[in-house]
Order: sequence, then C-alpha cells, then structure tokens
Amino acid sequence: MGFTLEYNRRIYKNQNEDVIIFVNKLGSNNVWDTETHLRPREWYLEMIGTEAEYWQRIGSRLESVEGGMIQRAVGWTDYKYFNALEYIKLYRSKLRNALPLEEFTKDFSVSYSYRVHADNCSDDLKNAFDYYNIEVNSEGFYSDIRYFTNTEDLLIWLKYFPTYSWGENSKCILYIHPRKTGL
Amino acid sequence: MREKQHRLYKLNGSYQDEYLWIVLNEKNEWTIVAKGPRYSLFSQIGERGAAVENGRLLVDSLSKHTFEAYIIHYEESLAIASPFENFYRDFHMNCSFTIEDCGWKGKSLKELLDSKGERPISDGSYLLCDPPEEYVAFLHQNQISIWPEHILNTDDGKPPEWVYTNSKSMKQLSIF
Repeated sequence: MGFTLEYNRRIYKNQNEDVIIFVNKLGSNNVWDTETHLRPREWYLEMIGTEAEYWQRIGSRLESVEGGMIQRAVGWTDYKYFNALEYIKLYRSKLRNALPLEEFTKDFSVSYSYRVHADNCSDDLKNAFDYYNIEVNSEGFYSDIRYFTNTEDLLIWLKYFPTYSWGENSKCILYIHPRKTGL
Repeated sequence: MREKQHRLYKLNGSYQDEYLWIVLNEKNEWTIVAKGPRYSLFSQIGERGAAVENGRLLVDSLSKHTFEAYIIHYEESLAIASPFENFYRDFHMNCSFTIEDCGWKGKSLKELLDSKGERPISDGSYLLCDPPEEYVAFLHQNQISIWPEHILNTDDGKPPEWVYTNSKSMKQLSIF
C-alpha cells in the first residue's frame, strides 16, 4: 500500500501576532518519475493559523504517522518510519526555529487560482470579490490567478478567501513553488 | 476539560490486538475515548495531546503538560494495558442492542441469549446488565468485535449484523 513521504517542512512565524504558516514537501513511496527515476515531490501549504491550530494539525496526523502512512524521506530513495513522539519532537524543533513570516514569499512564489460562478457565490465570498474590485467575466464567473510577492498581502487575502475549495462551479486553490533550487 | 484517570484494556486478536481506552472526566463520568488497533488510538492521542499542549486539557497524572509528555504517558499505558476481560471485572456495563436481520452469527447469538433465558423487550431489543463473559467469549470466537457503545464490522467486511440501538446507556459506565 502506498504511503506519504515527508521530504521537508518549513514553519514561518510572526512572534507578535501568533500567526504561523506551515508548508510541507511531500511525495508518495510508490510513484516514480519515468524520466528522472526519482519520486516526484511537491510543496504544499499545510495550514495558516495560530500556534494552537498548528498543534491541532500536527496532532491530527499522528494516527497516520503511527500507522506508517506518513514516513520520513531519507536521502534520494530511502525512507524511515517515525513514531508519534519523534514526529512531535521534530515539529517542536521546527516551531522553535521558525523562520520570520515575511520570508515565506521570498522562499516561495505564491499564486491563487479561483473560478467561482457568481450564482454559486456565498455572500461572504461576493463581498470579498467586491472588496478587491474583482468583476464577473462574460461567462458569469469570477475567474483569475492572483500572484503574491508579499506575505502580508497574502494573509489579508486569506482572511476573505479559502485556501482551498473544490466544487463544480467553485474552485479556489493556493499554489506554492519554491524560488530556490535547494528547497 | 480534565482527565482525572484513564484505563486501557487490550483484546488480543488473531490479526491484530485491539484496545479500549476510557477516561474519568471532570464530572466523574467514565467515558469512552477510543477503541481499535493501537495505531488508531493515536487519532485521539493526537487530538487530546494538542489540547494538552494548548492548555485546554488538564491531565491529573501529568506533571508536565506538553504534547510529548502526553504521548509518553500513553505509550507507557499501552505497553501495560489490562486484558480486556478485566473491563468486565472493573466496570458495570449496561448494554442495549438489537439483532438485525440475522446472518449466521446473529442467529447463533440469538440462540445463545435464548438458551440463557434472555428475552428481548417489546421493541425487540435486548437489554443486558453486566453481560456474562460467556457472551463476550462467544462474540470473540466468532470474530464479532464487541465494544461498549458500538459493534464493529465483522472481519469479512460485511456490515455489522447487529448494532446497539441505545448508545447512550453504554456511556453510563460506573466503576465498582
């Protein structure tokens, strides 16, 4: 059975306002790129929230960790089982050494793709589009890709828009890509 | 929230061991936190460990309230979990259940209950107080997992042949 491999993780934190951005580089043990013969891996936004929410997020993964469905990548091809305690210790250490929040958009290019039909739009979301002066296109959709180069702008945007939603007439997704090759 | 005490019971299984985890809360009620294989308990250990870390869950037996301390606490407890039979020794248990559209397992259970003089009440459900170990042994031998509050799926993946209809009474456990 396939399981998730964790290749890397980064925590960004604003010490004053208790805001955390947590991103993870993940792959699968049984998916291989036919050209490179390596396992593909991508960075994902795990959460944006408070420190309490961070621990809830980590806690919610312990069953998968303990059950071996999330394992730690070692080098290019190996991986290692880690138990719940090791997992918590790892993320404790990462939080202790969190990077400044503003570094996030320096480390990652961030784009937000949305396509939401006006008829399928909640009042809150409609107000958000109005706030940003975003108009409906000829097909009746709010639709575009927005790029963020400033973490503060991103956090304001995410006060109004979901980090992810997927429905027939409502799709919103936040993408992140590392700017540096070493990540 | 407060966790004044806890108990962990282990049921040896042919495929994997299963556990029952109950805690005594701030209202002095024993409640079921989780049941299932070891790894599955970490769903709740994770959720409650985060609550400990965030100051929302007070655990009387912990001197240090951190996520790590909570995990260590439960890893130690899991290693010395009591045999499941002791659950019946330690607690009274009222259970209410129906035997739905019997398969062979349900039929056999019904026969066993009949032979012991157990009769369903008017709505067809059975009410048992402190079910004898014989019933539990029967269920275990037939690979029907019996836990307080729920009957789990049978090993062949078919839906449960019988389920409790009154889970509320199952939560009212009282210690001897």
